[in-house]
Amino acid sequence: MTTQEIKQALEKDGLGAGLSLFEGPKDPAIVVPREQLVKVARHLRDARHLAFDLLIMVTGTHMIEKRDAKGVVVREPGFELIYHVRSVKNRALLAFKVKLPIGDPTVDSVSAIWPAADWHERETFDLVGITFKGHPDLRRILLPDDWEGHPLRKDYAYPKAYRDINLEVDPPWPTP
Amino acid sequence: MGLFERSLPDIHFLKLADAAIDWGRESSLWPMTFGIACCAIEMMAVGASKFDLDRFGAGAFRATPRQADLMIVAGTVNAKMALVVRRLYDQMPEPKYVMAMGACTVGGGPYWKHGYNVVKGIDKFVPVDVHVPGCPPRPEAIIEGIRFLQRKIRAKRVLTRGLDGTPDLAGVSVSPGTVGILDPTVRPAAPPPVPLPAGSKA
Repeated sequence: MTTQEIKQALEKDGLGAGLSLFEGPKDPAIVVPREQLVKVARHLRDARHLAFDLLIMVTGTHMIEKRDAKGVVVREPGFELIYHVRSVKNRALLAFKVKLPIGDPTVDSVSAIWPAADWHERETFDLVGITFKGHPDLRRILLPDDWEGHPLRKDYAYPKAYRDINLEVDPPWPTP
Repeated sequence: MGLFERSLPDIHFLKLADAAIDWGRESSLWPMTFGIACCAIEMMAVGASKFDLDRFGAGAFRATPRQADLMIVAGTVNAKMALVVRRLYDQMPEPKYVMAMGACTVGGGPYWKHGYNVVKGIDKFVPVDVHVPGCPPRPEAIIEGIRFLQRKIRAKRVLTRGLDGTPDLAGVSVSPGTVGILDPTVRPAAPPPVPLPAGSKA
């Protein structure tokens, strides 16, 4: 099953509202509106002709504004979530994306559908700062609980110290 | 500043006792079983039969800091782990020694610039006796670091330190480049350059 066929199957089942196809340089993906995420995810897992029962990974990215050579904005700033799911029965791999606005990075949790999403969403919350509504235990998973900021954001400022541990470089970084 | 400073006219016997104490300390260094990252693989290799750290009396890896003399910090130390490393160091009994093993613990290593949570050198929070650079260091390099540390312990002279004019080495960190301060006969100073005869090509 290709991504195009999966998208057609979703449209046939009445879930095609707002779906679009992302044709990237490498892997195609289905772009799902964030209000539809839980509904589409549950259908992807439960429908017998789809049967995507294995969540491979959840990726969060912070996208900055991108302009082309003429200065026209070709990509608005925002967050992107990429879910990779696999169907063991149908031997298929699917990627679907959710785009989030920069001012409100919240999305519904899919950890009730795929339990593997629990720690993936905690890591995404920890490093990118996306809040998952309905997550059973949304805490930091890698960094300490009292860490400030989310390091994989593009505007993250490196900390000078953590508690009384000095994190600065000695001698300091050369300025270009 | 020794224990019996100026209380005895002749420190010869104290020197003999010193030699015994320092020999005992340097020959039974017990490291702590404590590996953080990939350097720990090399630390395990140096304790295994091929390189056999037991030849130098430092092969008895202890599973608790309370029985250990030497902490080999093997691996990247991030901010969360630094608190643990310092707690382990505080739990070790005196006299205690620290070896910074690998580029990450010496100065941040590959995380020097973009490691937002990596401590750039463990000497920012614990005193380090020996730095062993490498990524990771070969087992021979760890053995060399142990030998330098033993030389430092031998020069400590707990009873007669500072009594006969030799330098006090407490708190001095050694590395392969600074071994001369421990034993000046190891690397004698280079002779002054011979002036070239006039008219010859440089």
